[in-house]
Formats: sequence, structure tokens, C-alpha cells
Amino acid sequence: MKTGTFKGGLDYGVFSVNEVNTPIEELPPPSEVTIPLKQHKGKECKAVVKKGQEVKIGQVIGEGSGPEEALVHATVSGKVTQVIKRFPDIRGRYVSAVTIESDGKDEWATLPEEKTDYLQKGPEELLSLIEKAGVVDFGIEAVPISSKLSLIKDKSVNTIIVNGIDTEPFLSAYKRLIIEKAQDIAEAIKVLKKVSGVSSIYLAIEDRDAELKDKISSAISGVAELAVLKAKFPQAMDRPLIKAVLEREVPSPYGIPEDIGVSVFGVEAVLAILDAVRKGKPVIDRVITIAGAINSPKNLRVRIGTPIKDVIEHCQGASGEVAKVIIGGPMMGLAQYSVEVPVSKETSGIFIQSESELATISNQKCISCGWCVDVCPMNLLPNIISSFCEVNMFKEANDYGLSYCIECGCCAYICPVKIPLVHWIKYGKSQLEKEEK
Amino acid sequence: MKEERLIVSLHPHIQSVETVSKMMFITTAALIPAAAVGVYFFGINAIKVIIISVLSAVGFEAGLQKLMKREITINDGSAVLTGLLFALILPPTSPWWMVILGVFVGMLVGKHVYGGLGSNPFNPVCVGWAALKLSFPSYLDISGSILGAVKSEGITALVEDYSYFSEQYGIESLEGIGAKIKVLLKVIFAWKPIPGATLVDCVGQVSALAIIIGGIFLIWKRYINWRIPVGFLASIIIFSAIFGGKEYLYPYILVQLLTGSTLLAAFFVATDPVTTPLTGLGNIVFGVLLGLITMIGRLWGSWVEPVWFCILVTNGFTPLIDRLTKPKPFGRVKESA
Repeated sequence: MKTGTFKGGLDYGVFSVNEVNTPIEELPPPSEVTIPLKQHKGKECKAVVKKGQEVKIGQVIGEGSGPEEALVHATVSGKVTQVIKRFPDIRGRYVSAVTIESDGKDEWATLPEEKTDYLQKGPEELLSLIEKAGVVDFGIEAVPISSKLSLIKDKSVNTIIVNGIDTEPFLSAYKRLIIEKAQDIAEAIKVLKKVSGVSSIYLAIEDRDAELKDKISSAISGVAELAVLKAKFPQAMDRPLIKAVLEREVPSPYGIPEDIGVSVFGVEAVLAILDAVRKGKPVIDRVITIAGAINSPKNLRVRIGTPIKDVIEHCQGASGEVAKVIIGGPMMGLAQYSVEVPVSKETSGIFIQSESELATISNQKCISCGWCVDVCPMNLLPNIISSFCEVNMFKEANDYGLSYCIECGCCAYICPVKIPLVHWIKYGKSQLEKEEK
Repeated sequence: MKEERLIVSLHPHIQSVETVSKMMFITTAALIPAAAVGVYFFGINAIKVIIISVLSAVGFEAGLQKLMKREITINDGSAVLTGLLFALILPPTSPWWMVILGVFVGMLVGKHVYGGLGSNPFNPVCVGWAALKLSFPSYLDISGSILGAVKSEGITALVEDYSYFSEQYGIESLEGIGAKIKVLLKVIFAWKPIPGATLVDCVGQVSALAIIIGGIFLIWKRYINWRIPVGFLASIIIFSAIFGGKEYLYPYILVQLLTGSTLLAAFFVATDPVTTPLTGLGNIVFGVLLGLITMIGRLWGSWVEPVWFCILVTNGFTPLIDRLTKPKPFGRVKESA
């Protein structure tokens, strides 16, 4: 077992809301799903179904052409009611989407069957199964696993970190997955070893929970090394995570983990890989945490394409007037315009806020307390960078490392003056890009 | 569920409960033990100085902000803190008009001409004090204090001629660990005056213990950075040990450390976030530099207690320290030339 940590970040003690720790429940299939055709890093997929067509679960409805696109599958059985050209995604941009009305039968195109010979298959065969299942590294980036695996070859990666740490405070889907599926994770890591050819694999978890460590440490012994890290936000981001596990720094600002021979996979993606090769099951659902101002916070397995209003309803609705609906978590999540937005491969959680909990900002000046400097995981001076951006001095801001910022939000969280540092930094980044063109 | 009017804004969507006013009021609260000891020793005079100083600080803050057409921020507590701190570093005999004048200069020249809280390069409390010290030195004279006696007559005179420790605390010899600890425990609560004299000191700095309690509380609650007090006090100890001479080094260090304004400066004034460096390393450098300048001032300067002036000088180094201690960003790759 390994331990470790990174500099800066926020202690979990500072967050005032408790995390959800309920067992994962299945959300009943919704009556209608809207499946965005872009749920991955690359361009959007082309719809391969037409309006009025009957589809079954697991049937491919969107196909991409490049390596950064992943197949999109139907997640309920029924009739395609619409192929929409302009549907707002979680970033508020328009993408194409397919709407399927459920026939309530929940029939599969090919029923997933448990096979036992999957570890005998060669890497090529495994890879094609993964590609067919449309597996991505779940999260806001949503890089297809096949593209990550080819990077492993190209950059001769020799270490893989399986990230079992939830991206944000209050989210606990990864933790519940580890507790409930410890054996499957061990199997999944074996598959990952086979398909990637990398033998040095770490499973990273945080030291917040004794139950978690107990469940997983025996299950993965001999398969992967367990790294128990000091619980801090934003440990689930690549740079702090690799620093904490391996004591190595990813070249910044523009490097990627593969540059130093490391690749990071989320624990849910690893389980999806297992489902793909063992059962031939494509990605049709995700485990997400619903937290915040909600009557019954839960961990739910949700079909992709389920509108978030259905998910909120299933959790007995919001407690009080809803002011903000956030996809992701409260630190880095994206506030939504509408509750019609569907759950996608990019959705890790839903966080509801009522009016009284909203963050405020102020136009007072920085008092140089240095708290943001203490919490910055990138070892920057956030207050100086933000002050430069505020007065349009983007070159100077960049001299202080503007482009290194990973926008984790720790500085803006801790700021006693309530300066919107992330806002200024994002503004500075976009303006700098324009100036450089 | 009906379609709600949802708010869309950038992350983070949550923020800590810490605010500037909480920071200021808790720091103010941490000064209460020191102020209470002052009131206990100096009575009504101390109360007068404190009330005049706090009220005039709040008044000038509001007045100057109104005059400069800025948002009035007396609720953030920084004026109250400035006023209380200023009262604590004045002798209880200070006349009312001098207190008001000092607060005015501190608020105007030390804070609001630069744009208010957050923009001032120098500590307003020290600016106000320096203005009074240069204008009315006799009112701020504390040469009758222990620190003053040690400065003018030396530590040997204090221990031998005045028989200070045996007269006031009944400790005949300073030899041995036991006696040393005993002296420390006696003086840490309060230094008694020179035998036969009355107590001469400033309102808030009579009791080292009271200040330390407040300071440790703030460090524990993380409202002040431990690096400045630790750097500063360590530097005072080291430099007083180097320059203190061979005889009676231990009481000499105690005098430098626990009398005068050393502790008040260490925990409450030098730690002002606005005028100090940003990084951890920068704060240690700041503390050590301040200790060095203070000891130079005490040994070779003409003032008994120059620490407030030394803070101003060290504030001047803050931008330089910030520049020299700029942290290296995570994962920066050296560009090959």
C-alpha cells in the first residue's frame, strides 16, 4: 500500500454539506430519453437511425468517424420520435440528439451474456469489443477509451492509475462502486492490463473511509497496488493525482499525463470496459450522485438520455425553491439553463442549490491574505493573476502562470473577500488566446 | 416539475464561510485579553484611550470613504481593529487630541490615499504611530519601562543595581534551569516596574501572556499566518543572543522578547495580510528581516521601542520579497535555450 498527497487543495473538513453515502439504486427506465450524439471529446456522431424507426437497447444510433468519437447506443427500447439538430448540451452549446419514446418492454438488441473466456482473448479483439461498447473515460472530458489506449502505445506509457476518487466533494458514486463491486474492479484491472500491455497499475482511493479501504484492499491484492491518499480536493484531477500517487509532475501548462508515461482511468470507465468484454454490454447507463438541496439524496444508476428533471423527481424533488441545477459537483460543475438536459456520459452528478446557498461575489479589493496561494494545487499566485486579468494585463498575468491554472476553484472557494477568481482567470485565458492570434 | 428560472454562473458554486469581517472581528476579539489587562493596570485612562481611538477610527473611515466617494465599509470591522490596535500601542496618559490626530493620519496617509483596505503598502497603525512619535515624542516616551531601563543603563544595571528580580519576584539567583523557568513564569504574566518607580508602558502590552493567548488562538484558527510571528520572534532571540553580551544573556533575551511591543507586533501588527508577502517562504523572510531591523533599531537607534517604525521599513521590502519568492508553477518545464 502506498500513501501520498499533493501541495495545496482543500481539506474535506471545510465543506459544510455532507456527502451522500447511500447504496446505488437503479432508476427505472424513463418514458422518453433524449440522447445527445456528442458525449465524447471529438466531433458529434452522425445519427444512423431515422424518425419513426423501432430501436432496441444497445442498438447503435450514432456513429463517429474519428478516433476521439465513441459510438452512441439506444438506452431504452421503443420508437425514435425525433432526430433533433439543435439540442442544448450541458455546456449550453447545441448538439444533435435522438429522442426515443420507450415502449416499456426494455428489450435488448442482443442480451448481454456473461462469458468466462474473455481473458483468453487477444488485445486486438478486446479493443474492438471496447470500441463497440462506446466506452469513454466518464467525466467532463469524456475521452474514448480506445483513443486513450492508442496513446498508451504511442507514448510508451508504463504506469496506469485507476482513479477511485470522486471528482468533487458530495459526490460518492465512485466510492459506492468500489464498495459494491470490489471483485469486478479486480477483474476489470486484469482486462485493462491485458488490453493495454501495462503491468504497473495503481488504484487510488482517499483515506476518508475505512470501509472503502477494507473492501478493496483484499480484492485487488496481487492485481494492482493500492494508493491511499490524504483526502483533499481536487485530488481526482490528473495533475494532483499523479503527484500524489507517483510524486511526479505532469509537464505544464500544456503537457498530458502520457508525456511522463502515465495514464489515468476512472474506476467507472474500467468497470464499463469489463462489461464490454465480459458481457458485450455497451454503455447505456451511468452511476451518478444527486446531492445538495434535494429531499432524498441518492446514488443512482441512470440510463443515458434521462432528463435530469426525471432524476430530481425520483429523489422526491428539490427541498425548497431551486435556484441552480449543476451538472457535476459544486466546485467545478456546470450550471444548467434547463432541467430538460439529459444525463450523458459526461455527467458525474447533479447538485441542486437553493437561493440561500448561492455563492456571492464582491467588488472589494484583495487583502493579500494569501489563502488562495496556500490552496492552489498548481503553486500559483491566484490573486495576482486575477488582479492582472481584471485590468486587462493578460501578458503579465501569463508571466505569473495564467495558463497553468486548472480551474479547480479552490482559490475562489477560500477567498474571504469573495473575489470571483475563476471568472477572471477564465476571462484572462480567453482574451490571451485572442491576443495571441 | 414546472420549468424554473435557473441561475447560470461560473463555478465554484459554493464558497467558504470565511469573510473579511469575520476575520477582522475575530482578530479584534483576540485582542480583548491584552486590552483587559491594560484596563486592569491603568484603569479609566486606558478605557478612555481605547474608546476614543476606536470611535475615531470608525468615524474617519466612514468620513474619508464618503469624501472620496467610495463604498462605506465600516461594517467589515477593519476600522474597529485598527482603532483598538492603535489604542493598545499608546501610553494610557496620551491626551485625547493626540489619539484622534494619530488615528486620522493613520487612516488618511496610511490607508485611504492609497484606495482603502487592500491597497495600502504600509500598515496604517504604524503610520499613525510614526506620525505621533515624530511630532510629540514626549507623549510617547516609554523610557521608564523595563525595556527603556535596559536600553539606557544595560541589563547588568537592571539585575545588579536595581536588584530587579530579587526585589520584585524574590528570585536571588538566575543560575540553573529551575530559576530560569521561574523567572519566565513570573515575567510572562506581567513585568513589574523598576523598584520604587510606577508602571510605565503602553495600554495593551503589559502582559505578555495575554497577548500570547490571543495570538495562539488566531494561529490555531488560522486567521494569522504562523510564519511571521515565528520568524520574527526567532530572529529577535537569535539577534539578541548575538548582540546581548555575555553577562545576563538570559534576562536580556527575555526583556527583548517579552517587554515593549515585541509580542503585539509579532502576532497582531506585523501579520496584517495587506502589507506582508503572499507566500509562506516570503512570510518567514519578512519575519526574520523585521526581527533584524528591530534589534538594530533597539541597539543602535535612539528610540526605546522602534518596532512600529521597523514594520514600516519592512513593509517597504514586501514587494521585493514577493518578487524574490515567486513560487515555481507546478510542472513547469525548463525551456531549453
